[in-house]
Amino acid sequence: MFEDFAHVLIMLIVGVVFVPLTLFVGKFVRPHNPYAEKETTYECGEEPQGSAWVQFNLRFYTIAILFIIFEVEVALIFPVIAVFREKASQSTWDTGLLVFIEILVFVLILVLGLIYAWVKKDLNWIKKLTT
Amino acid sequence: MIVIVGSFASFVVIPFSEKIIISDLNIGFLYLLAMGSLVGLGIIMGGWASNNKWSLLGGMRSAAQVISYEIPSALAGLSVVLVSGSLSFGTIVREQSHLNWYIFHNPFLFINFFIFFTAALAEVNRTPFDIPEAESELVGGFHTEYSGMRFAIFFMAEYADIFVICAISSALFLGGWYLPFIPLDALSTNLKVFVQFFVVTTKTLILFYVVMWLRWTLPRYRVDQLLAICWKFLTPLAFTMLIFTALWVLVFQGRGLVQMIQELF
Repeated sequence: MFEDFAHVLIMLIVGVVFVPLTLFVGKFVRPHNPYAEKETTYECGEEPQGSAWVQFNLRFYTIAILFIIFEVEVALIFPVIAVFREKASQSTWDTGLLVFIEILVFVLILVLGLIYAWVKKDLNWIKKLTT
Repeated sequence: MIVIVGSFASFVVIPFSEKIIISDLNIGFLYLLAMGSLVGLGIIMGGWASNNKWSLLGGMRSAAQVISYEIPSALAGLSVVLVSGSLSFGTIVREQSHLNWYIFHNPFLFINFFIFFTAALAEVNRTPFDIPEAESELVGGFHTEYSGMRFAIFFMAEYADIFVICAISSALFLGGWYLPFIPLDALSTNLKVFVQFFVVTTKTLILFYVVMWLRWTLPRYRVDQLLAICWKFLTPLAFTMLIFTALWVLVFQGRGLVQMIQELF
């Protein structure tokens, strides 16, 4: 069990070391000639207008909130899903049916949430404000 | 750095053959999902740190896209877990011997394969879902300000990710190292490992070819269309397929179509 995650750790270390290593090796071969114009940010050849860290579209937040709800749902449903087949292939139907109804109820509640967001038009990129 | 760590770490769970799998984690699929989100985080950080409007927009779009499409792909993968009853990739592939490929297991998993592949394609920012880098509107997206080796690292991560999703699609749905009508068990151990490795790589490269093919065939979507496809089409469809697959497993006690046909004769 823990040896498995040791392999993961090794791969993570390889990933972390890889980036500085290649950049370090590249330092010896790449030309280094910075000047003021080169250092500016690229804006199609125009002079950059102000900082880029402006307020961005608020729709991204709605998407993020929706994502959190569904991702937590996916994480929560994993254990049930993993044992479902074992329960379903038992000779008696009772346990399997119970687990199935559990999954159904769980998913239906979430679909209800999705329908709510849909009806409120939160899934549309451009939402018309009705005042 | 985070980008490359995410894609490198995903490599751990790819089942190349019965012997060649770096680490057959018992939570393989969950681990893969976690590592998949890491790439999105790296891209948004890279985009934001550039202090460039194009990069910021690209990074934000990428974040929205990666997190949205993770839900259909996770749900489609969940149905596979549902039929196999295991999260480990080794077990999932072993369950698919003798043409019991999960794509043919039942009609709902057949649809799920396409959901999974589409969503995974969007997760790694490939055309037709490559609006984070959309050359025609955002110059270069999140990597506008990067050049040289830094750019190369971003792209290496992207291509590594494509390879990962292709390999995972073939492992989850296309039977991993199994081929129909070839009795693998008859071969000697060393030859078997070699053949299995060859089969998995071929399947992966065929899917990779499809990815390339789509890149030159389809135009890219607008950002609103992209999110509409995900939330209004793929997610409800994936939910429905999950329920129907559960029903199938319940009614037929976990047997697939191919298995039932084989039992008839």
